[in-house]
Amino acid sequence: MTMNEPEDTHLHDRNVARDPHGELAQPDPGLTPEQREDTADAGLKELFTALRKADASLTPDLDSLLAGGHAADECVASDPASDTGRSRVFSHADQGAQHLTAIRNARSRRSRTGLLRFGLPLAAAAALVLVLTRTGTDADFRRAVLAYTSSPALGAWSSPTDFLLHTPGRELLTATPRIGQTGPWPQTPDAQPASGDSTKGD
Amino acid sequence: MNRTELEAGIRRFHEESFGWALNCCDRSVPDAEDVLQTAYMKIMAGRARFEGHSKFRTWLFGVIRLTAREHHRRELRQDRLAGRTQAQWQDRGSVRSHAGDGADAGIIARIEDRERAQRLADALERLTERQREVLHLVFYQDLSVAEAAEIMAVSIGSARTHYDRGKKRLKELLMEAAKR
Repeated sequence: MTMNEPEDTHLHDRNVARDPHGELAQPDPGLTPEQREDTADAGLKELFTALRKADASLTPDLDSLLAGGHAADECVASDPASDTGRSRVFSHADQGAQHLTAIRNARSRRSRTGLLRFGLPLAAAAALVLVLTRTGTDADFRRAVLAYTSSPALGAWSSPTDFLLHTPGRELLTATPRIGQTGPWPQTPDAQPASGDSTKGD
Repeated sequence: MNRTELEAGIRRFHEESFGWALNCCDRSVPDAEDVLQTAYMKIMAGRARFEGHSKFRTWLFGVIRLTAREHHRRELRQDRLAGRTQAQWQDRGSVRSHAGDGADAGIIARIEDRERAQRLADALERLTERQREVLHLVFYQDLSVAEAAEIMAVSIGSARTHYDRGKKRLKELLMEAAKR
């Protein structure tokens, strides 16, 4: 049978097939499948009705339930530690769970606060150090260049192998001949004087 | 809805609500009472608000169902915190079950067809939670499958499937019980 809500919800008046003990009995074989299904549903409905009747007598009084709830709320609000009855059995576990949660929250809060309190100044200090260090390096470099270029000792320095550059005839490369001038050309200060034999020959 | 209207609505459906709470708490009477009380307090304190999107009973049953789930989760957490072993948990479950049976039996003894109610309760225990819920809502509470789906927070198609399978299985279980 397909689920048909009106049929499912109004099964009270059906002819219910039950055995003498009130259980669902095998349906009459002469019935159609739909009729069997309806009969079985009606049987279920009867059983649920019996269960409902049984439960009805167990139903607690609403006023006492509400009053108990209000009292429990007030009790918890005024003094969370005081509780009665079966709730008390687990109240310690509840407190433990709350305590654990509080610890976790506090840790989390502390870590966040610590990050803000110490992390930010540290980051600022590190940035300052970096900036200052960088500036100091530039200044040192500039000072070194200035000292190198201005120091007489460093400016007069010459390489130990500098004499190798003083080749014969070097003055020809360093002196400039003048038009109309005969004789020896003006020599560079470090040029050697010419020998007498060569003068005679001229 | 103001406080008076809410209280009137709760009062009107109190008996049905208790039956639903029993179903949501594996038929444990103390747990059902706790759940019902917590749900009522939620409603009266405004922590659960009726917006008028559905019928009041549908909404009320939804609140009870969610509260029962919270209650169940809280019990599991408390058991874990208390370091209960699985064996202890099973013992506790059986004690709770026996307590429920005892409470049921004491009351059912007053009515004529107590055995039928008990056998139905036993058979219902062997169904899945969803099947039990939808069958309870349809047969016990006289709700439609669509309303049951709304309370169970599932689609109508899913509720129909649970309904059909659950009904079939329940009939089989009851037939088996009748043959014994």
